[in-house]
Amino acid sequence: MIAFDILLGLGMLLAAAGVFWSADLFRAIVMFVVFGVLLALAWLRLQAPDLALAEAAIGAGLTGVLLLDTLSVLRAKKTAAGKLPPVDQQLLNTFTSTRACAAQNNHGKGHENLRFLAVGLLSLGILIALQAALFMRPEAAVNLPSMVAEGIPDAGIEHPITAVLLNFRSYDTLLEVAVLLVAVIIGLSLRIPSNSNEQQAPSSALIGARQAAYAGVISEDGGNDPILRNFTQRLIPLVLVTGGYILWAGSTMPGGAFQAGALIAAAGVIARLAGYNIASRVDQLLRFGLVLGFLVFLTVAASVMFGGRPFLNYPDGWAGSLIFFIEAMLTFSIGLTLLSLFVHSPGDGAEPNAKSSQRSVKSGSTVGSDNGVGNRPPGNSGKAEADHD
Amino acid sequence: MADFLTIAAIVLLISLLLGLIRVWRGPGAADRMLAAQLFGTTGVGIVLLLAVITDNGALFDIALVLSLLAAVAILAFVRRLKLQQSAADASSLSTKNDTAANKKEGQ
Amino acid sequence: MISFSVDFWYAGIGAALIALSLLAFLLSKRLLKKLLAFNIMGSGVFLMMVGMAQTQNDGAADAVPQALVLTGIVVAVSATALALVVIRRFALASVVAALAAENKAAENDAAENDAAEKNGAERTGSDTAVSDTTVTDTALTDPNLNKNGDPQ
Repeated sequence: MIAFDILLGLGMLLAAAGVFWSADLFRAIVMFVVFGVLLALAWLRLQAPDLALAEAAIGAGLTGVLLLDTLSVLRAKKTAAGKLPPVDQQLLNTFTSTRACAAQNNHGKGHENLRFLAVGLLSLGILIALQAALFMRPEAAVNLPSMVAEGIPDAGIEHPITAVLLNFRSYDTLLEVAVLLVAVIIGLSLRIPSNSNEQQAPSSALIGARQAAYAGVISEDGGNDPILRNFTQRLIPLVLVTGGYILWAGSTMPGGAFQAGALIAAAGVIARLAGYNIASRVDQLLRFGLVLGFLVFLTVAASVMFGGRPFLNYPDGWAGSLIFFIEAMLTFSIGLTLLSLFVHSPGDGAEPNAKSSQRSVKSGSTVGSDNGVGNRPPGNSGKAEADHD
Repeated sequence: MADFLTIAAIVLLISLLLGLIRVWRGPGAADRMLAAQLFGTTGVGIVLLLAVITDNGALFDIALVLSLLAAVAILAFVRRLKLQQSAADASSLSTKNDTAANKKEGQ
Repeated sequence: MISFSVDFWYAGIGAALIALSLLAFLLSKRLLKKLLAFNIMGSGVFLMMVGMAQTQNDGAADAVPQALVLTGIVVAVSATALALVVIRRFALASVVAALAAENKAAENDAAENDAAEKNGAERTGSDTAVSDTTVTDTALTDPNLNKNGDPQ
């Protein structure tokens, strides 16, 4: 097995180097996906099947899709901008091609070399320091595995990692869910609102029209392709059922809320890629779902205090069912969080917004003529934001 | 038997590393993407072999998840291709919009 | 130390990944590339955490660092998704801003505006990250820019 480990480690280094050294972003992203698969195998060799599961779902699946989609949206904008003035092309090039960077760097080549040298020395120093730390590691001060093994009978759950996450160190998990919530709130507020023509410059009509043109580029993929539709219709139920199974399995073996949540998000992403606009039709429900996991977790954590117990200390005999309840809610919320970060990112799924924006530009008001898209919540939310401003 | 399975896992890993070369050299985007799919399927094979070698049934779940989600990247890739096509179509649309907007601005 | 330890080997790989991605993170000019480097750096840290903890325990699986790393993976993926949102927004916003500037320039006195913009470009045109999005005059007039850097 030693040969396997050595090959896998070197392969990971090669894949990482491939990510960094490729000038083409598409190649870098494919290399990154490949790195994710290799990392999942490495977690297996490290006896960490939970991490392998998370990496398989997130690293090899979800992140790769997110990156590929972002790249394609950026590039589609660039292609659409082919007939736009050079300013646009220059700006879009900054995100997608090397040449623009090269053009900007041609001032001061010696400066660049100095920078390369400094960064190289810094990296080398860090490498040496980390390896030295590995070789001169201290003895373990506490024997954590045996402490976990002692606590398992009272934890209400058999799988040690789920027990650590939701019982022994549930504080961390609570705060993690809060971090996710903050991230998705920022992500949602960074959506392209339908009132982005509010700069009320005389050129707003032009800007609005161009934005509509950009948005038109990415709204063209309907769910019309029969192969895509059939593939999706078979894949989504499988992914959802597997997500439920992984959640259920988490109490006795590798699995749990995070991996299941990643699978739920993946199902939504598949639906979105196939052209189903689920998320924007259930906007209110989605917003509720985002906070649900955190609220339930916090409520359970705080309500045990009425019984005279410390924060997050589950009552005897209830731990197992409470943990499973929290996990189920967390799965739902984590799935929705990851999904809405993807679906509501600027330049994606912007059909109703873009159209209303275009229409409002033509009618001369900021966000008027929302009636046509009244059943589309994003349009409404855009209006709400505009009123708020 | 375990030795044989170990050797099989190593051989699969070597085929993965050869796939790395294909990802690097391309030449087309589809070549790279299909090499990444090879990583998905061969990864499933390695996970299953490791499950049998270490006699850990829980690893079968990982193979299941990996096989389901490895297919998703293809979807994003297909969407990318469609975007490129529609972007080519839309460049005519954008010029139309531009002229319309310019006309409006001129008023 | 002589005998091969799986955990120690992967911790070492993690250290090498951290150093490698630090290099790429600091040297790369493109935001997506920086994001990839950031992700791989995170993976390196995770490998080191689990590998080192399990080396200290003579190779026994340790649930505590594994659970912490699981938390870390989920936070990392949400951070990545958020960063992608910001990058997309950034791309759109800079296009809109450039268009607004362009229109202003057309309306106002062209010469005056050009001078002002040139000043602005010189002020922010240093080799900081800002220069990634600053429109410099040299870049604008470069005929090569319109070509796609993508080989396919």
